[in-house]
Amino acid sequence: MAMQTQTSAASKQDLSVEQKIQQFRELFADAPELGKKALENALHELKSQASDLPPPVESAGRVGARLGKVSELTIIVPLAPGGAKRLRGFLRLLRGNLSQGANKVGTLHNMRFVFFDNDTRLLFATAFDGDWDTYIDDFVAKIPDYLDIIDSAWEGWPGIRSPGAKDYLIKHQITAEGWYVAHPDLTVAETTRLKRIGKAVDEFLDKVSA
Amino acid sequence: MAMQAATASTPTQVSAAEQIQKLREAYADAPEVGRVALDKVRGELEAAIRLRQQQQQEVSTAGRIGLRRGKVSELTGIVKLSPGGAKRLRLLLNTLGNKLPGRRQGRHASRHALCLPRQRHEAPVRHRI
Repeated sequence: MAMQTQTSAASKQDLSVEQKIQQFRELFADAPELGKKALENALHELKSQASDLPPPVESAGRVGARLGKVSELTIIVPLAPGGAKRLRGFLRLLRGNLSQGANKVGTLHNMRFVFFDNDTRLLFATAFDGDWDTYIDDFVAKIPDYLDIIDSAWEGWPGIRSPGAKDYLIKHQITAEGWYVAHPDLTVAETTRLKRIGKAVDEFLDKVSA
Repeated sequence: MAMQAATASTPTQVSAAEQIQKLREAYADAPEVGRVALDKVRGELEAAIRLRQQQQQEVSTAGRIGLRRGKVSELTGIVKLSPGGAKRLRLLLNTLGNKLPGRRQGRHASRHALCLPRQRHEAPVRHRI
């Protein structure tokens, strides 16, 4: 009985994979030659990857994607007049190293600021632990002023203490279509702990072997 | 010797204060919320600049383009999509879930892929902090 169920599930999955591959082929029919050829080359691998159930990418809360414990936040905002100049000045002052503020929040894996369209727009992308609302609340509680220094460069930013701040962020955030994380099971705190343990083990082994 | 060290650190402190002053001037025409925030964290920023100068925690280049801090680099690409490109790419990403092909190389910490709601035709400008 168990065998039957397994076989049935497998064939259903196979069918689904075959259907997906067929969908690919149809969609790539009008792709550039380069894309069509690449798809044919990678088809075998795609089949095997698509047939394994991938760890689910979930919602990070109100907006954004989450894989395991790690979420993504991608915002594209119009910059206020003079905003790019001010924000660039601030980032250069710290040489782009915002670790002091980030360490206070404690759940921030990385972040980047990219100016584009001749300094009229900004891409802000970050990876963080857990839920969107908790993350924003942490910023409000721990480093509200740093956020206002940065975000006052954005057109129409109401201020982090404003009731409209979260609505502003949601309006400009775009949920990623693809979200890959090398270690989705590790939070920033856990990574720090593992680094500490690894260092201690290395030191211990050095002492033992000396 | 301690006196020498203290004297040697003075220019750094002056430099940090000067840098903050420059930033305050740049924020003179910023919205009220930004100016107030900057004044509130002025002391912290000075300390951060001094620490950075002492520890030399510099961001360097990742090679031809992009930034690197320590062992980790960033790569941000903004490209114009060809007709039907968004639809094809979306299906590929939805099918693979988080199993993007670069995983086997073992050097990706994280990777986002998104489609911008509006396409702009100007060439994207990269800026190095």
